[in-house]
Amino acid sequence: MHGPRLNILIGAFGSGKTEVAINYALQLKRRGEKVGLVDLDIVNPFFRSRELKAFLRSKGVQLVSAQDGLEAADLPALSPRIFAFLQNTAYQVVLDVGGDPVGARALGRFEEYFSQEPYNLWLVINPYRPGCSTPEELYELARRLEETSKLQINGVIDNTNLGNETTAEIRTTGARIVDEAARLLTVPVVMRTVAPPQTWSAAAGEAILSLELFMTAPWETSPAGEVSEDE
Amino acid sequence: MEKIMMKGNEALAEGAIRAGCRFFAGYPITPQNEVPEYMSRRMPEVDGVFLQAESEVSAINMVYGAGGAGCRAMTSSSSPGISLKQEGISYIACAQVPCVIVNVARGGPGLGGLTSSQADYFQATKGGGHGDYRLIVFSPGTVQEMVDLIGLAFDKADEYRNPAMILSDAIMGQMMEPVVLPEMRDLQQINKPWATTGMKNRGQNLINSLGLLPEDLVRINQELQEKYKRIEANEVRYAVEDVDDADLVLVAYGTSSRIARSAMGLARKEGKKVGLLRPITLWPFPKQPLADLAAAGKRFLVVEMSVGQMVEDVILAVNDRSKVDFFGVPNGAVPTVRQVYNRIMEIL
Repeated sequence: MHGPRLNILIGAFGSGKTEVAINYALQLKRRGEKVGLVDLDIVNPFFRSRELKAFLRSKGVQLVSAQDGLEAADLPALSPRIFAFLQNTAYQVVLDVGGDPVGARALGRFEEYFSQEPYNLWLVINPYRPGCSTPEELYELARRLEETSKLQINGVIDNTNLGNETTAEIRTTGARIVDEAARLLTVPVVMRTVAPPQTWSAAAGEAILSLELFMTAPWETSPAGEVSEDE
Repeated sequence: MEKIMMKGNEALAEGAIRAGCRFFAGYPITPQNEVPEYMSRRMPEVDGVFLQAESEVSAINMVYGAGGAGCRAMTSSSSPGISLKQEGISYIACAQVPCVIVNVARGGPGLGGLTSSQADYFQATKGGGHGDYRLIVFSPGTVQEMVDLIGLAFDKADEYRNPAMILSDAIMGQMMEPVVLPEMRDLQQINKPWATTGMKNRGQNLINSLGLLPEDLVRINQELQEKYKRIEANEVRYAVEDVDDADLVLVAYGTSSRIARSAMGLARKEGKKVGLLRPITLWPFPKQPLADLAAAGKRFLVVEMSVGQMVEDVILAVNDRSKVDFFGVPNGAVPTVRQVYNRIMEIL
């Protein structure tokens, strides 16, 4: 894998950034990279990658999130260890940023690193979320995210889904909206996600990220296992 | 209408707007913050009022005023904030003002934590504030039900001139599921001749919760109790699954009902005859269906995300006709499917 080692995922609240970030980090690990996953979510104290810390460690992915001891708090307290990953060029870094422009604000703190080396800033899109259903809305969102983060979006990730009710038709409709948004933004669609058993026949040169779903409800089976059992 | 993915809290807010809610007052507290945030964006688009109050006490009293003026009004909060609202809720109940109160419950007691909880059942169904009064309490079990039940809550609140509550929890509020949204309600259809809308060509409408003369207070209370009887007779809602052949019926609402259903599935695979009764209204409580199942020889296992509150109502409904077991967890923890399954296997 060549290209920038800093991979920043931004997007609307609830667009699936965390799920994509975890899966992308695991994919990089499987390719033999050293991987750091940075949870920059200062917006939402639920369904965050920090809940999977032990599982990710067992897979060789280093996770950094909140200041130690504050993982379960609704405080915008980030760990100083984030700097270690940003500085260590041996690492591929995936940054999972909180939703909406308010979440992207957390990136401002790390601006100096992004001005020193190239980065991927990828907009994660699910057109089946409110406020994301037209290319124009997505264009506006992208511009506001760029304004807050002071960075340039250079790719979009098509994360079209309707949860476990995703059909081929929904997937195709979503892909069309994402393609049009990418065209307005003049950036490529760098990746499309697919959660098996759903399938997607990739066009030539299209990268597919096959998703295992980790952000599960307590009554669903998580690939990370049932962590709270009989503790 | 096409389906979209929504978080429980967002679905609740949009559902309220579509049900005709045009006044929201609230105060920030996790894990309900998406409700006021959504309302702050959406209310101006429908010529409604979003107001971030200076406190929970102010918010509930603003809802009292807006509801009294005939507007479909709501507030939302999470457990400690709902505790603060109780005085206002008692006043609203006495004054017979319709409104909707949303509790996206979190772990308690005290300041507690941000984890999901069902330990506010007593507070929601047994009064909460002072005096002999009741709320109509709905418990959504899916994100779709957030939308459906908040619409119903506004309708029933108006029909009975009584405050209604949606008792949700952190998991229900934060999880995402596909939903279909209803069309916008026609506000012209909502007619409230008792509301304080300015006298014009009619007599005075008075809304208060005062009964200084003993006979006045007795009359007010008799009127309320009369109304509660009608609600109990007409508004019980619940869902059953696989109870006909069941030896054991799980009783659970909201998040616990989802966990219980998965555990039921595992047990059925092992040939165990397990069913599920899910109360949708927590008050009025589905006493009769439970009594009927007890009379038919079913045993019960109540599953709650607390150390046991609804179980007391199940025991009262069953009234020694059958055996009632309980599985719960202290706040901070969420019951796992495996734990509930293990409890089922111990019993059967």
